[in-house]
Amino acid sequence: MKITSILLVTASILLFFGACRKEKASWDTRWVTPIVNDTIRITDFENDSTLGVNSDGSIQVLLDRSLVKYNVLDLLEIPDTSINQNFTIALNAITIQPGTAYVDEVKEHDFNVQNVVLKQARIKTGSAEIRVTNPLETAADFVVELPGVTKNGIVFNQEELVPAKQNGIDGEMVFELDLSGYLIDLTGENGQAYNVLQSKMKVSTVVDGPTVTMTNQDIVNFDIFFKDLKIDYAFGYLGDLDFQDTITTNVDFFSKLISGDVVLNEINLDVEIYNGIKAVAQGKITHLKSLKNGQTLNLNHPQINQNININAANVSNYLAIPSLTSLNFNNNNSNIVDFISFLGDEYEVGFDVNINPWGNISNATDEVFPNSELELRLKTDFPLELGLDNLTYLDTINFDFSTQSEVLRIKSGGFSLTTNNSYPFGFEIELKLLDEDNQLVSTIESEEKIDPAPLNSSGNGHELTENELLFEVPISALEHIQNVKSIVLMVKSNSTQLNDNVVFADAMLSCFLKTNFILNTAF
Amino acid sequence: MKYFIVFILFIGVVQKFYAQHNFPLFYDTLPTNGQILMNGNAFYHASDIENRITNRLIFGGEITEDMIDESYSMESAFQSIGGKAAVDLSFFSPWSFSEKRNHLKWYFNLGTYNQLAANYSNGLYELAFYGNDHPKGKSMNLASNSGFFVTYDKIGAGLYNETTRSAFSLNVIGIRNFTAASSGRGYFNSGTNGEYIDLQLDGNFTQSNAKTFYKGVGLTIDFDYFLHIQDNSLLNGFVQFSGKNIGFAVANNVDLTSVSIDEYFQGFTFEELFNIFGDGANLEEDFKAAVGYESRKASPVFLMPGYLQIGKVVDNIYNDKFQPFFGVRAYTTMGYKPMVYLGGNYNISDFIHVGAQASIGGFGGFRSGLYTGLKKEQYQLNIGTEDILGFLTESSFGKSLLLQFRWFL
Repeated sequence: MKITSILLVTASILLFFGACRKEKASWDTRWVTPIVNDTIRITDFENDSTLGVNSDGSIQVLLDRSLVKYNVLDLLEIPDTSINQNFTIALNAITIQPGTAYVDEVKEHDFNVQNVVLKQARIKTGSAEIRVTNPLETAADFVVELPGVTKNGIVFNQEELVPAKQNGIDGEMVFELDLSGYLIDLTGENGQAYNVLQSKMKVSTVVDGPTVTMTNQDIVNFDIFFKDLKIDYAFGYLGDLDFQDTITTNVDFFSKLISGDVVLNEINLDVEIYNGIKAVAQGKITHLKSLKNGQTLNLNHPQINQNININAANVSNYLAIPSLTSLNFNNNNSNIVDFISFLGDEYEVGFDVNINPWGNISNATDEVFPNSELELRLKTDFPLELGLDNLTYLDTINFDFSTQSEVLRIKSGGFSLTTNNSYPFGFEIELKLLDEDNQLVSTIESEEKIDPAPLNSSGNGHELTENELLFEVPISALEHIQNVKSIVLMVKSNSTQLNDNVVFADAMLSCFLKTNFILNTAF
Repeated sequence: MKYFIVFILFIGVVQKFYAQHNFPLFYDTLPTNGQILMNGNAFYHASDIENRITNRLIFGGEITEDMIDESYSMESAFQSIGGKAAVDLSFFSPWSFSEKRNHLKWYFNLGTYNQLAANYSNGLYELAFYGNDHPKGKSMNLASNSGFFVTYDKIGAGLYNETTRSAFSLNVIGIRNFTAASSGRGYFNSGTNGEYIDLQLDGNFTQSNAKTFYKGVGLTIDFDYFLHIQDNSLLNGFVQFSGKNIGFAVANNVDLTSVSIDEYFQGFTFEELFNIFGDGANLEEDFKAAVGYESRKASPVFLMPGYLQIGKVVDNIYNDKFQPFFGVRAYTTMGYKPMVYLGGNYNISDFIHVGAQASIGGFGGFRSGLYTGLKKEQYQLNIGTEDILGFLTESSFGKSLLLQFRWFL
């Protein structure tokens, strides 16, 4: 009896609790969230180096960008150099009393700076390692002086006490000195030479030492090893310096423009060469190319690959004032409009600049300062009149929906995009959802588009147009959302008109993107 | 309706048994050689959410917007919901504690419990069941929410007085699962056209994640003390002071996660969007930083969800056909208001008795219950509910099933 009752009761409990969970508990909730809320105004880009505003309110493209810069001093190398000065007596032997100066002589040494006539240089960084040897059996005061090496007007001067010779071994002292900031005069004793450095050695026996004998076998010696010398100023003849390079620039945005055309009215572009070296030069733009999808378009101009003379920089208050040489590209002298309209995603500029192409015609009066640079700049000055004809932008964003919650899933819904536009450009937007094999899962698109703004009645601006684009996510997409691995965004653009499509300073595009989804909770 | 049929099935099946004691309130001092007592208790009770929703949350089914509206219309600022499913077994042994005190005998118990309780704001209800699109433009309160769910086993030993039936045991608790969540300050507001989201929330979430079977331990006490009140014009009988699972536990090495959000969000700018999806962007880290996400390990000590009860019991010493009973019960858990109950027991015969009670408090409001008990020889079976309406209509606010089986050795 008791077993039967227990079983019946247990069965009833199971029936009560266990018989009813045939399905998940589920309900729907609605969620509206803002995603993007921003306004792009053309005047946000107004500054001295990008865009300007004309008196009629139209936009002027005023780009000013540096393409490449070289510091000539990086090319001027002073190799590591050793100089040696030694002294011995002609007599067989002499007696030297304590406190006697027995060496005092100046010597000149050559700096091996190939193809460069250096009269003066200032050391930015570098050092000198000095080694002196004393052959006498008394300590000696060594004074090493470099007469042409000064800092703040003070001549380079180092005094060291070198120990006496002991047990047949000469006394020796080695020390290192920092040469940063020193100005080196390389014109020698008479001031007419070049690449020449003087050294002076003065040696005295110590006053409290013994009297010693010096023979003609005793050699007083000092070595100076100049190493890791970098200069930040040079005067003389800098040699024949050649700068050649090809600069490649990628414009990632253009690589995503897959079709359509751009119509440009007028382009005015300068390639400017700034020479910050007080030395004449000659240069040329060897080529300008635009590359896209394996195709190449060259910029044609009479002066492409032709040498142009470049003036030397002027000097004021020990600073270089660069000279300017520019090459102008416009509708009349080149195919610049086609070149820009090609919308290449890679641009290549080749150049070749030669300093002192005619040799030492300055009589070794070239100068290079710390701010001396050779620079290539790009400048534009033309009105922003841009027509777009089905210009299509395509971008892929990786997105993994496979980690979607098992409890919460999107049941239905979509996005809405509200825009206010006064640009003379309109946009159609489409999203494609792709799986891991790049196969189409679904397409999300709107029947509406962002209209290009029409000209106002005065013709000095565009009317603000409002659009609301509704993007419904298909149920088929939601059912297979876990298969989606990437989203392709496609935007097609057309302008109010193709020709003379002026962009005015009041151009703005405000976007408000929000979601509106029904989520289903089930567990 | 099907639940009602199940209930009737119980009554019909056990009709032939005899009952002597009221359920779950009983008292007698008849000498025994010990007894085994099995209790089963399952209930859920809510202050505002109707059974049409809670039934589906527990047993499955689609919750429609009409159902959500029905419960929403009765929402007050703060609501509560709680539930329990438990089975425990007690053994009142015939073995004396000592020769000198042979009226004190050994008592053992074990059980398994699942309990949950929550105190939540109406804003949380709106977000959970409507989303943020309802009601538009209105601020939803998310402050001061709390909830927990704990599963645990108990084993205990103690003594009981064979004469007075008072008992005491000390129990060791093994926590199998512990989950808790709470919020401090918080509100949610969104624009009427979804143009902004304004969210402030300081929240904590704790979950036991240790790889061991028991993820925490605790100590609790159970006690029953019976006081005989005699010759009182208002009251003749026995008053029971009872406590179950009163104590503390510590959950070992739980994951404690906190967020601190104070954001007024109107949408990303284009620059922010490029940074989010740009090279080197780390969406997960950026999101965690935005919500002030922190996670650490902790071993929190918490009060076990036991209960205390004081009430007059029905007994077999007084042979009245009808006996009233009343009392108050309080769970040591959030959201539970002390429940006051009042009922009456009627002995139909030596074999069967029935009873009814009304109560107010607990996790919700008024409830009415029914029970019956049967007895044959040394076996007793009691079955009942503290919420009969829960079986009859989905407009009520809970369900309850109580089961007791007693075997006198």
